[in-house]
Amino acid sequence: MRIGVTVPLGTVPPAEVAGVAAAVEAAALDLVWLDAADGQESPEAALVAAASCAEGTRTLLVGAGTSVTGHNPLYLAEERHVADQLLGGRLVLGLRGDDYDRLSEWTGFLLSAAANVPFFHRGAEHAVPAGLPQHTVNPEQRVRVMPAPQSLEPPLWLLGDAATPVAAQYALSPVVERDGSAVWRRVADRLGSAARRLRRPAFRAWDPGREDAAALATRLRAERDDWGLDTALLRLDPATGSAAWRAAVADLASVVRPRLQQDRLPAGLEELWDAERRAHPCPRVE
Amino acid sequence: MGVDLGVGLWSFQSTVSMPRSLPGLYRDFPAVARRVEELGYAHLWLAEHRLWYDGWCPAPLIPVAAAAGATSTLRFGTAVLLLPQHDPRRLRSVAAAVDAAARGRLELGVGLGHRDAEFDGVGLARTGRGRRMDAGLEVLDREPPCGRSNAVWVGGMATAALERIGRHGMSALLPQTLDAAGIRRAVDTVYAAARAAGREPGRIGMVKDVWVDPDGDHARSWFLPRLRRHYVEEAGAWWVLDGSHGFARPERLDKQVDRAVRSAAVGTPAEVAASVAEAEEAGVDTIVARINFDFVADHELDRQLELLASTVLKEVTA
Repeated sequence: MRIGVTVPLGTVPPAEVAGVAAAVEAAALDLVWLDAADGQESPEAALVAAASCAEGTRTLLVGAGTSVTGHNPLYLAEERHVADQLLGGRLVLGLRGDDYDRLSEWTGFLLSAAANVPFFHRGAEHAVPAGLPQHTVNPEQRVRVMPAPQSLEPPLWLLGDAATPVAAQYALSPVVERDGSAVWRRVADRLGSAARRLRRPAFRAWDPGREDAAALATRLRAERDDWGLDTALLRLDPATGSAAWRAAVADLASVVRPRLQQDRLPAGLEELWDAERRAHPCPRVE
Repeated sequence: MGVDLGVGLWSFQSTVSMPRSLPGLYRDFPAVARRVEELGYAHLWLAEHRLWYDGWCPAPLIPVAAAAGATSTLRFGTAVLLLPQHDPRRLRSVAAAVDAAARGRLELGVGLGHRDAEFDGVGLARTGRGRRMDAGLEVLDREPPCGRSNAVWVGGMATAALERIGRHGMSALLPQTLDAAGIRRAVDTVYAAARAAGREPGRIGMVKDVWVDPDGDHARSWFLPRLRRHYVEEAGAWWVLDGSHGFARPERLDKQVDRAVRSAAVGTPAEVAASVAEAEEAGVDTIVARINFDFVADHELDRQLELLASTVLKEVTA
């Protein structure tokens, strides 16, 4: 299972986001999720924050939580492609939408834009190119968004009330926020075996002051075995960047993830790990 | 006094003249910015165009966010963002986020844009670009994305455009085709409009095509034909001349390209420094030396950055 950490952008100064991401990478976790779709920051801030992580990280997957807005989706497609280039293909775009029609239109547009060939889009809200009669000098019937993303199949994960039906429509991953079983029954019903190619991410909260790391592992393993959770995006209770947060991040890498990688562990191994934790609590993250 | 000297324009292109790896250009950009800072330049500038075969970066604020972490004092500018192709509130929001990520080091240069296909791509009529520019500048003046009006730079040379810059207390980005007399007139216009509006005038900048070589003749024989070829492609495919694109108006195209090439500052370091000093004397306080073109290979760019820094930069900022 991949383990990621969410960062609500409104809580971290923009110039410090890259340092937070570097700490997540240094802890050997898989992903940082930069969330601007929580209403505290404008959605545009997520891709700026993601790009700011390009210099300080090398291997970390970087998620940018954006949302459908009233603007032309071309801007988001362009910023997404440039950010993916800067990150060497490590960008995961999250798109939040509560209205089915709007989320479906934006999703279709982003898929066309990333396909690397000329396309046109005619939706209920947007037409690209618009074909305005005033444009007479070399008007285009179809456009290609340049640059293309670096990734061949750049991840696009959907969030919000409309995520599940739109994800099922386009064979994309919804990010589970509540009951994963219900979501994935619906997606799998629609897609059949094609659903097997999709990652199954979920946001999950964790307060290390209330729940031991080993108990969190047990909780996530149950979801893994129930509906296939394979990417846990953890909303940590300690303030981002604090010492308690760093300790929690370290526990995710050294306590939680090892317990999730196999179907079962040989008897005695977890006991050994637990004994070592009791002897050396809170491994430090530099 | 001295002039602030920076370099440009980063556009992340891969053209017929020199095919490039786009992932490589983006990957290397933070390191290039660090090198520009180490060499002592004041700023580095990027440019925006969209929907073109060479991959010209349509979102140049995003690479600034990436390079901010690799640098600490270098300022980043755009010369220019095409303001009428954006919702100014959204652009303001992106710019403010980038400025915050760069700890206040963004210089937001904006201009009109001229290509029908770009405006059509974003669903806006090119014919309305003047009105959209006005409205956009109002938004950027009310809430400056970088916290200060003079961090917004506006391209233009028409009297109305210069007066608008002055009224808003913004900085001017003048075209390199202006001679010293033209610069003085432009500066007077901006300053007078600022005074009339009760605003502190902004700065006066110019983007200038530059190439230096200890052998001035070699600089000219190497650089100018390539610069001409560069503008023939760009102006031929994009610029609107007499209601059509450049290639359909070959005589106008030739004249436009001649004009652009003639205004480049090319030669020995002393010759280029003299050209910069002439602009400074006329009132320019910020020069963006455009040395990064699609036909300049990485090693040539690095050599040019070093040579320019060790000669012209030293002299004009002394």
